[in-house]
Amino acid sequence: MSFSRVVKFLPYILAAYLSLPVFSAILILPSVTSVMLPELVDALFVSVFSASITTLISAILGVPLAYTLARNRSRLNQLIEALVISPIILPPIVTGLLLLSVLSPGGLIGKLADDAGFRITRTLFAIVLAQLAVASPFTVISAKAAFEGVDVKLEFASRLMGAGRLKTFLKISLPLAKKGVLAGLLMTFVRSVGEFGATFMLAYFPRTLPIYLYTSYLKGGVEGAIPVAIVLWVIGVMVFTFIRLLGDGVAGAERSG
Amino acid sequence: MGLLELRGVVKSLGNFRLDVSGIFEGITAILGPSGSGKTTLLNVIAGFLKQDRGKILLNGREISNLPPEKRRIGYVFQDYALFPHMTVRENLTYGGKGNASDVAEMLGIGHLLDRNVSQLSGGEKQRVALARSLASKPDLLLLDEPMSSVDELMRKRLIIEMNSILRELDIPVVYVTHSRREAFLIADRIGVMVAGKILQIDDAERVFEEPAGREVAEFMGAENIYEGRVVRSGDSLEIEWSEGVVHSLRKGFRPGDEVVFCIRPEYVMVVREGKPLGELLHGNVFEGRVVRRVNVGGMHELVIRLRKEIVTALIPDHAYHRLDLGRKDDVMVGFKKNRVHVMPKI
Repeated sequence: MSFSRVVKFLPYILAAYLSLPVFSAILILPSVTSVMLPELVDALFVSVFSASITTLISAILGVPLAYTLARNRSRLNQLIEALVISPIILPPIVTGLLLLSVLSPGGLIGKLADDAGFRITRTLFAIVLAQLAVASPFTVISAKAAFEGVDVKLEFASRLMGAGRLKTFLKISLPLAKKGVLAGLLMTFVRSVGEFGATFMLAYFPRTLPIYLYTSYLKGGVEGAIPVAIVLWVIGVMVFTFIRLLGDGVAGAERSG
Repeated sequence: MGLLELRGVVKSLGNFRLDVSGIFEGITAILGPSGSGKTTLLNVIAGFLKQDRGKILLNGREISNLPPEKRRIGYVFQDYALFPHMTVRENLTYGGKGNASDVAEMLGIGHLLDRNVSQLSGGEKQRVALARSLASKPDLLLLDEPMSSVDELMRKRLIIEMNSILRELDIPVVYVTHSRREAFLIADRIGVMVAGKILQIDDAERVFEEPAGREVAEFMGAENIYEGRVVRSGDSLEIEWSEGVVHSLRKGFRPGDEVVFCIRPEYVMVVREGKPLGELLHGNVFEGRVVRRVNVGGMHELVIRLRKEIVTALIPDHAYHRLDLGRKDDVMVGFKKNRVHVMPKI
């Protein structure tokens, strides 16, 4: 193969590799022989339920944070932003370990909870905490970019027409940033459903889909884990399609006409 | 008729410092180069920026510490800032005060009410922005370069329309622009702003004819600005400068005063030889040589070198040809005594 040919194909080599899982998922489907349906349904429920709560909390707490970071560029806020983003670059298992160190019964917060007769680790609550730590930054980052795309003059105009801060946020900023906010929430949701590392450290039980996939693999090898993988894959594809349908809203908001 | 008053309003932003006092009534244009702080001034008045010091009073009511939504101010933004996700009607009724169809009627945009903002032309957007700023019945109207996003061909018509709409209002209007022509077409009074300060605020005519100092004169296009010293005062002022002595009918200076004087290019005359000089030109004629000629469309701009100074003259076409200025290089330039404006040197 000549050099120029290699150059011509170079752009597609990685693309081909990245689409490999998609094809293997389709190819491997017929080889599935048995499914532990009740366990799979349980894990599916745990994952979707916990991810929904995580997404809801991200909406309630993450969107206002994103707005504040977008509009107030103080030194303090820039530092906060760096801290908020850091879970994205940390391996989730590290985040999980660090959380465990404070939330386990021997840790700072875990001990307080333990004294109050309340256990954090190995609960649904712990799953949500693990997902929140790893996945909520996506909401903050995407929503912040969307709010930055909303012309601040539109907010000024709203204020001068008699609307206070809250009304201005609800009627102007949020509707104009909604694509980016929604895309961020969907990212948080899909990332939560697939969360493994931090959940593995913090809440091995109740089993989420990724944890169930792992235990299925330990018991039955690749073939045992495939059904779980397919379910995760389908959820991922659905959310991804949804994000794409939102259009270019991920990067920013509708511009003023 | 309302009144806006700024008392020692100061706002520092990095190296920039806004420092403005003054009373604004009727239609005032704030004229200044870009970066002079015009928009900052509007943003402080509107409450988007909090002043470091000073007070803002609107009809005697102090508004300096009120949030924007309590100030009762209308604002037309440079790019209009219409709410893009709403119809024209929703834009107008957003504040929930006043009556949208009243303003829409007044501005002739009734037929646009159900359109989306993205369907409007530049001129229509401007109308809607103006209507929206008036819909909440404000006590003061601020406009930030509202003509900058409409194209050149439409601009003059829109300026004239804008002027007639603004005249109907009985609230003070502050209109920010960097265009001299726009300021004259819109406003009764003009404030010239340079580097965060309003250097002069006066009737439009007066800012043009009698600038308060060198910077205002430069910005108003006086072009021929020189320094000198008063040597005699009386019926006319005699000022010594590098070309000899020049006379002016201005008052208020005494011998020994260091002054700056200016004469606008359109007032500089090229004197016809052999013709007796009028009283106003007597003693104010200087020899020079034409070094550059530019046809600026019906007028001819001549750059004339005197012994040491340079004079720019704007000569109408007929005079240019009658005096044969296309070929003649050696000329006599005259400054009419009533056109020589004198300012203190600061």
